[in-house]
Amino acid sequence: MGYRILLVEDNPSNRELFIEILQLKPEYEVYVAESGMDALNMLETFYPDLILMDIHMPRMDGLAVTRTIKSIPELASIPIVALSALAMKSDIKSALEAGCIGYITKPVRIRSFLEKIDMYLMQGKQSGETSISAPCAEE
Amino acid sequence: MNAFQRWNNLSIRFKFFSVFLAVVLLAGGGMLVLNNQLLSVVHDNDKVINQSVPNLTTQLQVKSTIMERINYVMLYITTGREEFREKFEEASARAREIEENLRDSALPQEQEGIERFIIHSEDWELILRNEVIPVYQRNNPKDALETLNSKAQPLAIRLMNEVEILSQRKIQEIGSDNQKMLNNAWSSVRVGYIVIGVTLLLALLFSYYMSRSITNPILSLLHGVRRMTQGDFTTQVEVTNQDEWGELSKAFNRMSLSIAGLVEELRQANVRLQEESRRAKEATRLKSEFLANMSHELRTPLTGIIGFAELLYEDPENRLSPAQKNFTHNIVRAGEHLLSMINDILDLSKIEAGKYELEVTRFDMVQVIRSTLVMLQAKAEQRGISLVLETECSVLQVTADKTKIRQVLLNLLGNAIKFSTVQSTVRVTLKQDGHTVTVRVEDQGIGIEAEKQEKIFEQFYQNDGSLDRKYEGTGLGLALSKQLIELHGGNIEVKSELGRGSVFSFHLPLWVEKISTHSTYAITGEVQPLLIFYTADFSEHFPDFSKIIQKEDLPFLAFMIESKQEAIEMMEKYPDNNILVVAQSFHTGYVEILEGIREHTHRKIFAYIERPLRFVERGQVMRVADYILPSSQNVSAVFSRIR
Repeated sequence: MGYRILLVEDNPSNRELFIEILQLKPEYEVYVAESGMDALNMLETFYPDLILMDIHMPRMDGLAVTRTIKSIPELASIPIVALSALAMKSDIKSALEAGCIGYITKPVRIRSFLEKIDMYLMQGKQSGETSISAPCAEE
Repeated sequence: MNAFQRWNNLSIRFKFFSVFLAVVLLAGGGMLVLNNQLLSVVHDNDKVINQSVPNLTTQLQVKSTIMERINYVMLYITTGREEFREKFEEASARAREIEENLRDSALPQEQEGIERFIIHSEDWELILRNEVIPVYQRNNPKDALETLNSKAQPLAIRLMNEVEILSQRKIQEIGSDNQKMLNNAWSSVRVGYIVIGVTLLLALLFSYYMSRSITNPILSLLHGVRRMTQGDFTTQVEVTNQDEWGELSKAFNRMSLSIAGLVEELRQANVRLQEESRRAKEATRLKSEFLANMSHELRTPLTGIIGFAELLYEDPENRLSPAQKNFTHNIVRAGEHLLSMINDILDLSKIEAGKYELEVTRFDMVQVIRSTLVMLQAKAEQRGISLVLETECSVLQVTADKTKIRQVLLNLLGNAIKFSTVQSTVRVTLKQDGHTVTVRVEDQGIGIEAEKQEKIFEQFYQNDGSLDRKYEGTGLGLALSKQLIELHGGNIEVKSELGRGSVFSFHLPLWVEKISTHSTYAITGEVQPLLIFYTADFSEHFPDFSKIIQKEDLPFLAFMIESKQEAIEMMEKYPDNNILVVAQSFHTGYVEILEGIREHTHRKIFAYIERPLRFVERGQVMRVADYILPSSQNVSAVFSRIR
């Protein structure tokens, strides 16, 4: 059984990189949105198992997208993991407050990144539609 | 007036001195006058007692001798007894003596009367001696008696009258002397009273004047001091005189002027400081913003570099030669190194900007050191270096930021391994001493010159300092370690001998208080009513909506809004209220209103749209608003959760 992962990332090079990295695992189906609006549009018709959300994006930032998703009852249970080059504690804190279950700082090392994605997928599956358990932030 | 003013301006000491001198002189003068008066009284008295009264007595004695002499003559010529004639001679001698006395003691104005009287008296006595006594001795008693009665007797009476007149004069003189004496005594008493009165009056006037001239400036100074206490530093007191008080008042005025100047300077300095502090805060904010951006901007390309290099290195299809694989590995390592440098710079900058927060937890120091040693084991073995931990504790719980302590350990141990000679030992010692934990990292490496031992904790300093460095490294590690340890309230130090090795040790308190820079929002007890703006398309639905909200007992103020300008104006009238913006359906005007509000406030903005929203539309609202109400049914539930 595959997992559908929605990657929201505005930087083309990074987008390509994460698509490539995620495709190292054959069980991941990767969907890509180039902006927050794009992602919301896609979510009208599509329900992923995990969203990887860039935070620093033009027009609508990842935090607003996350808050929007969390405010929509049908979508609120999708686990969202922030994937950002912002590394300040305050950034991590505000992402968790907006509703992310985890925070991965860029750049990443492939192995540990994939392990984390696995972990968040499991977590999302276990917690199902309920709470966000102990969000893990990575420095 | 001018003289009075000049007098006023004299010094108080001089005033006191001169007025007392005046009083003393006056009193002295009075005494002198009094004394003179008394002396003249005494003199008059003396005259009465020593001259006039004896004179009068003498005159009376003269009178009696006249009587005596005429009587003795009478007795002699009638009885013929010789003893009476002898007594007459005695009386005559006495009379002579008395007359001499009288003449001697006579006052000049009496002289004439007395001389005349003496001549008369001598004439009279000659009658007795020549015409009465010899006649009797010639046995002619009848003629003698005749002469005595007719001639001597009337003369005696005349003489007596003369004496009487002299006596009367003397008595009058005594009376007038007495009167004069009384007058003198009285006038001296008056003079005495006047002198005492004038002196007392002068003293009274002066004491009044002095008390006024002392208390007036004191009161006015007191007033000035009170005003100054109340914060009016420009207070000036009136300077009336030029005396010591005048000087004091002037000094007070000068003091108050200089204080006012100082206060003004302080105020301006304060304004400047506030301005500078505001600027510094702004600069700090900009700096941390810049840091965050820089970090982000550096990390984004680095993500690509490390990520793609690692993708190449993963090489699932095995198309890279071993050399190529090694290259990609080097790229990853270089990227990682760059990343760690960026992190270090960022951390250092954050610490310097005071923005750094420790994440304090309780952990076992022994365990952390062991795990760090394990991490570095491979690297050490490559160079044949053995890592040793020496400690008496099996467990040592400390409260600190575990990640940061590990970072410091990694740095110190990494340095120790890097600078050690091959086949040597790096020794870690852990000790607890009271409330301090000491960790020593000892190597047998190249060592550090004494004069460079201070500098190694500076940023970008590496021991050899030249460009082509033998040992790689950013030169940030020790600087950051020092900052991190100091952030924990500890300190770090180095002891080293060139060629023999170095000992780095840091001391940490067992407990680190959690330092929080988060400011907690002041929660106002009063709940401001919710400010509700609704757009025109919602106006016909608003009554129903407001009923629902009213039912939920939530205070609110509602206004229909046509444009974002209206919303901003209204919002500024109610600066503390949360805002709810309601519309019937999603449209660009609604988002514009939200954006307009957001630009002008940091308050919570709530949104509610009656018709169902597409996700994208919802996203556009959430870009600006803090919350979207899911339905009008549970508004108060939403608000209670938010509060």
